[in-house]
Amino acid sequence: MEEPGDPFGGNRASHLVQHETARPKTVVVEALPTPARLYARALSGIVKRGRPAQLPSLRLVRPAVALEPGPAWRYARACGFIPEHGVPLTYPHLLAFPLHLLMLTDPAFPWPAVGLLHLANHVRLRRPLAYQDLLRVEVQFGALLRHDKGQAFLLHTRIYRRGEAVWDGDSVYLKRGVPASGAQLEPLQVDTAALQRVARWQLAPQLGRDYASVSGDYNPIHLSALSAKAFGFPRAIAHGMWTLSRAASSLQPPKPLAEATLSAEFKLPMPLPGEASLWSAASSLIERDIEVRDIAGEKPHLRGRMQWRLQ
Amino acid sequence: MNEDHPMEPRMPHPLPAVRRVAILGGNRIPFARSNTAYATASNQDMLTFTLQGLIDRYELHGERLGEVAAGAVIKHSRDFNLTRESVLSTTLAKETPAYDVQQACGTGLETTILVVNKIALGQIDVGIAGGVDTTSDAPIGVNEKMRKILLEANRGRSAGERVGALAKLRPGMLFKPLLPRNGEPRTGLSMGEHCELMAKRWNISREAQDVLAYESHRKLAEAYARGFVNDLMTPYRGLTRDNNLRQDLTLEKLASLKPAFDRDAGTLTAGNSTPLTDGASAVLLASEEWAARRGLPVLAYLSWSETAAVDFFDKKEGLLMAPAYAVPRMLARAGLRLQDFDFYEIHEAFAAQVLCTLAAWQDDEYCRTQLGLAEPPGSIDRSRLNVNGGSLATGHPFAATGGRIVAGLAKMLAQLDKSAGSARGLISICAAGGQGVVAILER
Repeated sequence: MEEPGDPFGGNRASHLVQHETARPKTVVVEALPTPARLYARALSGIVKRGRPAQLPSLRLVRPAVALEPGPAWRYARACGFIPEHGVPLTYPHLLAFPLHLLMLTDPAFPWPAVGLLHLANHVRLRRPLAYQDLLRVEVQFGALLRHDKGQAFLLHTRIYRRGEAVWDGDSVYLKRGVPASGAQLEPLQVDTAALQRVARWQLAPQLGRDYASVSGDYNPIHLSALSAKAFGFPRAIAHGMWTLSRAASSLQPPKPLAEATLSAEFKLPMPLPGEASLWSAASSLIERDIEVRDIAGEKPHLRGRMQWRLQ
Repeated sequence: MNEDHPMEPRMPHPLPAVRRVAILGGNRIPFARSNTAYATASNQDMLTFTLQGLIDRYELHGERLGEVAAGAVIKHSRDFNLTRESVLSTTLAKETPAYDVQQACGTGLETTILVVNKIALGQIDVGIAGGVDTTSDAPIGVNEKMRKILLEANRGRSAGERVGALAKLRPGMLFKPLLPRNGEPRTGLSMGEHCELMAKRWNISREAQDVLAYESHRKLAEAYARGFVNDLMTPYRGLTRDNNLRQDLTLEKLASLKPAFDRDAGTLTAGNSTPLTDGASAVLLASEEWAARRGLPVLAYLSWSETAAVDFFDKKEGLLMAPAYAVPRMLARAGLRLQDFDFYEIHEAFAAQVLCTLAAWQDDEYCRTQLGLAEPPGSIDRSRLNVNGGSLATGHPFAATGGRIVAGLAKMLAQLDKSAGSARGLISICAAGGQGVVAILER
């Protein structure tokens, strides 16, 4: 198989150049805490003041995670993937998600996990995945990035199968209202004028709860209007990763992927229940620019790009 | 050897040549959404009434027909001889044989094919094909554990054994009956969930599905306004037209409906899927000689038919994609192209099913790899599709849909002003279990 170049295409994502923290401490996580314990940990760390903006040099590892078809299929269904798609492109993110929570709630992490914004996510499938693959999932912090609203930073996910890198994820988070350092976070360049409306989405009231139950992401801002209000949102909002997965499932041809990249920036929150519209433009047969907008097609909720090679 | 005439040898008849089989007419009752007008009507009631309507219209009182074939998809075990019992309740000669057929939603067309084939082979001269279904008067099975206990008690040889078995009964079992459900036993998914997967596989948009549903209602309303249905239907229990028909339906109304089978990422709604429906239909089929003897005009002939099935389990083909396989096979046998038809009657189980089938026939790769065709059959003239409305508007009483379509299409062909042998219509019906039944009518 050919080694593709820069996964996110030339200078579009130069901000993703990883600044390796030197020799991170590696911790093997054999048994995951329950979501309830993870969220208790998030709440207990809700007050952290005056810490220097320094990310802990830590690598969390799940050494052997089986790619189970059952949970993956429940996830696929909630996001619009079909069996023909094979393992959903975005599904491995969920294998790393509990480690993300552990990282963001680590005592050495400088800010409370609650209130962090998920700004962007980049996914790269390097090798075809199959159910029952045994995967090693590694998560570690990457570079600090400068953003207008505060300090952004990278959280890297690396997934290996028998020592071979098969799937990468880079999540960009933002801590608002703190002085920022690092390289400037470059926005994704998308020719928004070329985008065509593809579909209308109806966003069901229970979408946030459905996605929480298949993803393990029980962030209260997604679950109900009441729990969202507690964190300053007038209504519940859709998970950004659901929005991204739904867009990817809509655009992927009905065949499994050999390799792919998927990049997205999360824009305005998408309220639940509600409606949205999917827009896309084909820059080539195997590349789509993507926007998810409000139903009027005016304001963006997500902007992204997907490239793929089919099996 | 006949002993009276020992010198005269008997010459057995040669097998008769295959004959053209004529569709003379049909009858159905208006279709009713589940638990509405026919809530208390049984399959037996509806089938008997529908057969009698056909018998009255074609004056078949006291006639011994070759056979009556009909069936129901949802059937109570006491109705094991549903069709024969219905025949006995009509004014047909009691000597008319009958049997039940069940091939899910293909039942009505399959019974037609069976009767047609017997007439074609000269085994019979005239017969009736039909189908009936009720989801209102559905059989409810007792709780499975309870059923096993009752059977065990029934097997008991002594009073003690029987009491011992019955002692295992629990009150809760009464409240957990076994309900019939519209699901595939092998996948656990409902038919709607399967069709959702197909809609995603073929990238069928919500808007396209809603437009098809809207058109179906509009065209059925126009068909009623033209009086097209008048001689195809007998009013029943206060209904004179299908009560699923929405004259005032708008695209906005359809767009507002929520996904019914996949609430998070779905496009199939109650508006672009057929509802559970009660109803019955029947078609009168005969040889040309029989029709001529009776002075009955021929509406059309059933010339070709085909059934197909797909592996929706291991090979993950779409559950309702079998007609996509059946039609090209039949066209190849008939030496026809997909474009050689005046009318296309594709059963609208779901708007998405119709649109997936049409999309599949235009997909080079799918036609080559899945259907084994050198060339895709191509597109059809959509203005010839379901021109008097389809199942989305009429409703879909599973086994009764085939008879509705056969009779309606035969009449449409009869109304065409075309030279003999040049008018053609295609019927395509998908069925549970990954099956499809298709046929060609000609005139």
